[in-house]
Amino acid sequence: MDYLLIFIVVMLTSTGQVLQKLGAERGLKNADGLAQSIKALFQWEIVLSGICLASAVAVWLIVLYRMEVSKAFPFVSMGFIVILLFAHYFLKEKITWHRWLGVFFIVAGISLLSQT
Amino acid sequence: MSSNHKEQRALIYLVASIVLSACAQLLMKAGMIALAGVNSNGEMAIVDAVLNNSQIPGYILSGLFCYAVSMLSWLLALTRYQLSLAYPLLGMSYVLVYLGAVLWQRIGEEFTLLRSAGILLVFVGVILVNYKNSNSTSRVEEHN
Repeated sequence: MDYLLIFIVVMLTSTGQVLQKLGAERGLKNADGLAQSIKALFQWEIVLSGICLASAVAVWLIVLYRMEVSKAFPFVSMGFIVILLFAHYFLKEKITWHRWLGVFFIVAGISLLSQT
Repeated sequence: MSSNHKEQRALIYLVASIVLSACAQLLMKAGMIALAGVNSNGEMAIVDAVLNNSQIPGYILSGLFCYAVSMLSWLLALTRYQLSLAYPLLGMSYVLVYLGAVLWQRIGEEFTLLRSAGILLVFVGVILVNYKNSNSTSRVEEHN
């Protein structure tokens, strides 16, 4: 159950990031001036990403209530790997081997950082 | 605006987003410590402060402000950076949070060898993620 909740947090966060990227790409990138930029913040991709990220925080709080941060955090940092996969499949970004390797180091580092 | 100029701006947005998200965490932590000092309701102190309209520590409010600006800055950075490059760099904010929590006396967390080794791994990871890209423009999307 705890791990299912963590999986949901990771999926919501990763989906939220992909949506933010899509929204930034579609509207924000070519927005001219403050008014257009603010308008671009209300495109569906960005609004939906906000909902995903807010739900992720809510589920994360439940996880924190049920288990220790130092145990939960290494699993959440798996999100770094899922986001790379999503960027590859959904955003068609080319991901070099050193970028993969770098992310594994980052996940390992964050796991150590979260140990008490 | 030249494309080079836009790239520089995107880099500033990315760095600002990373630094501000770390500041947000540290300020919120400092705020919760301050709240625990005046309110004995434990984890529910913050809920109590909001519901009873008593003072929410300025640290928490400034933390939330930093968080909001960090998210805006992140979106602006994403207009130029690939997600698979920008997101791993967010790992740096965990390093900044650790350093801040150790160095800022108000939080005063312990420096440990294990956690410091974690910093080293994150640094190596960040360098690897950027590797090769630093000599070309491929870190930024070339289409459009």
